[in-house]
Amino acid sequence: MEAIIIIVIIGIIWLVLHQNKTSTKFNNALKLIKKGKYHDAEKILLKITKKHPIAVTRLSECYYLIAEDQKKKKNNLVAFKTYKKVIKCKTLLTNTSDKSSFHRIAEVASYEISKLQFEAIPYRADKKTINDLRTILDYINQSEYSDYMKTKVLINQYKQKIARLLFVIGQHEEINGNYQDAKKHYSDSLTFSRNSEKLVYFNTKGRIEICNLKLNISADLTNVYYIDLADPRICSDFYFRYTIALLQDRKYSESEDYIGQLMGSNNMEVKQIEQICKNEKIKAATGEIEVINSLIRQINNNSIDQLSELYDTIANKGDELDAIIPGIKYDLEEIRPSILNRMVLWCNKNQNFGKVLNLITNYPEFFDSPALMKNIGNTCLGFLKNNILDEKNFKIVIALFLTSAYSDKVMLSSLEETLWDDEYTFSLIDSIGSSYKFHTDIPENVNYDEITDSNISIGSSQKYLINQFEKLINEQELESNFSNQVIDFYENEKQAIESIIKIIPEEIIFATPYFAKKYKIETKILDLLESDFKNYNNEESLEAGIPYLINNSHSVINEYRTAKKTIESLIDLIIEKNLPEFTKKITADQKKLLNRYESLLETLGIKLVDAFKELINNHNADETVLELIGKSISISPLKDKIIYLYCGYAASLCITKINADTMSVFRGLQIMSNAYSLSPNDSRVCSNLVALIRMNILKLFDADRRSRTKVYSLLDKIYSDMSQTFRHNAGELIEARDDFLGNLPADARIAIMNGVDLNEHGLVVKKALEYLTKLGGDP
Amino acid sequence: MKNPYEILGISQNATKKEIITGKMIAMKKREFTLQEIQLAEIQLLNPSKRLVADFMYPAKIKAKRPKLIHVKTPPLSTKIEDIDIDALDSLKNKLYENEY
Repeated sequence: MEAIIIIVIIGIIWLVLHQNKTSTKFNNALKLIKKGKYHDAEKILLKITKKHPIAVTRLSECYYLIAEDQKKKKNNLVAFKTYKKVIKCKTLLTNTSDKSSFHRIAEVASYEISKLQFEAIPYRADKKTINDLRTILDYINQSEYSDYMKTKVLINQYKQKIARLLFVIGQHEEINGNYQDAKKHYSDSLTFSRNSEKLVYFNTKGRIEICNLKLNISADLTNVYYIDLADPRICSDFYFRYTIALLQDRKYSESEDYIGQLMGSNNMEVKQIEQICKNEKIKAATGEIEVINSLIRQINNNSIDQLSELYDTIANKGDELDAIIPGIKYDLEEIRPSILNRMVLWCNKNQNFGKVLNLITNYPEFFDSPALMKNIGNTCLGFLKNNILDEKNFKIVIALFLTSAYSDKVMLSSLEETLWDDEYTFSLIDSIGSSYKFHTDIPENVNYDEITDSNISIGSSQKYLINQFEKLINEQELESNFSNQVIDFYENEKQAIESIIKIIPEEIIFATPYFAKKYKIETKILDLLESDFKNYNNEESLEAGIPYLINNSHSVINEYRTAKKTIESLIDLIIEKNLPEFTKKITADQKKLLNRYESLLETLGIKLVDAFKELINNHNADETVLELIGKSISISPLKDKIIYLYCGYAASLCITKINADTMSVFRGLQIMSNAYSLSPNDSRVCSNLVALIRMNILKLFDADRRSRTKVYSLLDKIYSDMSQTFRHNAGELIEARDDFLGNLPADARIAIMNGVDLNEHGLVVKKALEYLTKLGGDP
Repeated sequence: MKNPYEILGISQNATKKEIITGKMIAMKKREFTLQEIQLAEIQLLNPSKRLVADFMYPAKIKAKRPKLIHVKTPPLSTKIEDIDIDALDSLKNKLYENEY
């Protein structure tokens, strides 16, 4: 046993000594590294790699420092080999070694190795160089030390170098006419330049597409984005070749689009391409004009389809052809009216009224032509005669007809077209298309004189046409709801056009709202209406403008519309008994807005009275109704009428509710007191108020102090402002006082009247009797 | 409400005499009923009603007689084949090898 203990002790001592020895060696090695004696340190560290956990790390550091030293001395080969030794140190690592520290040194060494290799390979565009670079790059990518930041940068440099060299080889192949080989090298280059070398990438994309064009393969236009970013010479080269390819495919317009990319070039060939494009376009346009000419030659024999084709070609191609052959649009436009006339006549004859309307309304500024407007009018009548009105066309048919029928110019033009062999004259005195007497350019046989047997009324003919149209509308076989919709629309359009004709004293195109908005002629109408309001404060002008509003451009009419809508919504809220919303709506701004328009204010007054009358009829005793009436007093121009309604309703509300025991007499007093303050000489109010005062005073005897105070306050208020009518009705209060006193025992009566030795109850009675006396008018 | 001018087979510029003659011819032709012919005559002899009838008659807008359109085609001075396709060749003068 003792022997074992001794052996263990000896062992421990040996171990401590041995450890001390390794530590000493390690420390010595560190000192040597510090002094730059790397080889001496290396020898010591090599002996303790398995004994000390950081020995391998220090050894690798030692090699690294030796390599750095050699690199500084330009001994790149020795440096390279020594860096390799750093990596080899990995084999010396034990389980106890500090692996992470070693990994960091190995990463740096690995980077230095790759960098030395990169620098050693020349920039030479040959396959061997590229293969060497690729091999090293593969090795680096597979290495466990490639995560080092500098290594990643170096990988990029390898890729750039490979991409550039492949691009150069590609160019050599291309110059030699080996376009397929060139493309292959360019494609390889792309894989290396994609994320590393943008300009090479863009240039390579350009070269590939140039090769495609040289090989007569269509260019991939998805690459145009990259080519635009490539070197300008490559860019121009590509567009030039591509433009020629398009020319060869007879795609002149496209070719012209791309030639724009080369416009900066003064190259003669580019100018030649431009000239070819231009000439080819003229040739194509000439071809199209030849088609038009062939239709013109046959114009008298053309079918309606051929006429339509000719008409559409002229209408649609005018601008396009004019851009190629300047001035051609004018020649084409000259033909248009003749074709339109033929088509209108044909369609009218064949009762194709929809087509007539389409043709005319698509003609530029058709509304300026009385002849076209007349055709519109008679076509709309034809439309109705054929009973083809439906939900899609009724608005336009009605708007077109009314605008046509209400035009004096249309009637005058129609009159002028007829040769009248009699001595008849015609008068505009009652025409419906104007409110003025100064039409421009009236025919000789037209005047403003009174209607006689020989001075014929133009107005009555216009009215006859309108009557005919209305008769036809009523005869349409329409479903009931739709029929109402049509009639409403007709009435609104008619009323609107009549309103503006009445107001505007100028010769403009009077159109219905639907017509004006559809053909964008509403601005002139709205301008004139606003100007009329500004000059004459005529609110009818604003009213007439509302149907013509599209946006917020005409602020005066828009504001008027807002005020009008406010009135409508206030009335709706009254009918809905929506007190909270009604209260919210009566703001100072709204009142200000409504006060701006006399006619609207008048309407508001009438509508409020009507709405409340209806509400009172439908709701017998409702405090909300009373509050609504009360709130509206401040906005109504007919205050007296509203107050009258308020007082009457307040009285009937109090009587009904108090009799039914659903309202306290105090609440009744509050309500009647409010009514009294509004109308102190209303006898209904005063008589009911007196009755309620009496009832409230007689209840004071049993009331608590707080309730009594509230009643006193109201009574004081009434007392401070007693009207003649109130005084006239107040006798009831003196009677009540006398009755009360008469029913009291004599001693109680004397005590109360003298006010001596009264308890609290006695004091209340005394005060109540005093109020009866005061308010009853007894001095 | 048929077009009275069509019923009587006359133009919009017909005189009173032509209207009456038109009525006689229309009655002989019997393309329209007697009532329609009589109504047409009344309409055209009454100036107010004739104004309405005129409104019903399609009008023509001012138009010129359609003329053929002449375009001068410029002579084609340049052909595609004449263009040097390598005129802007970007590899003509130098390679892109030492530019990076």
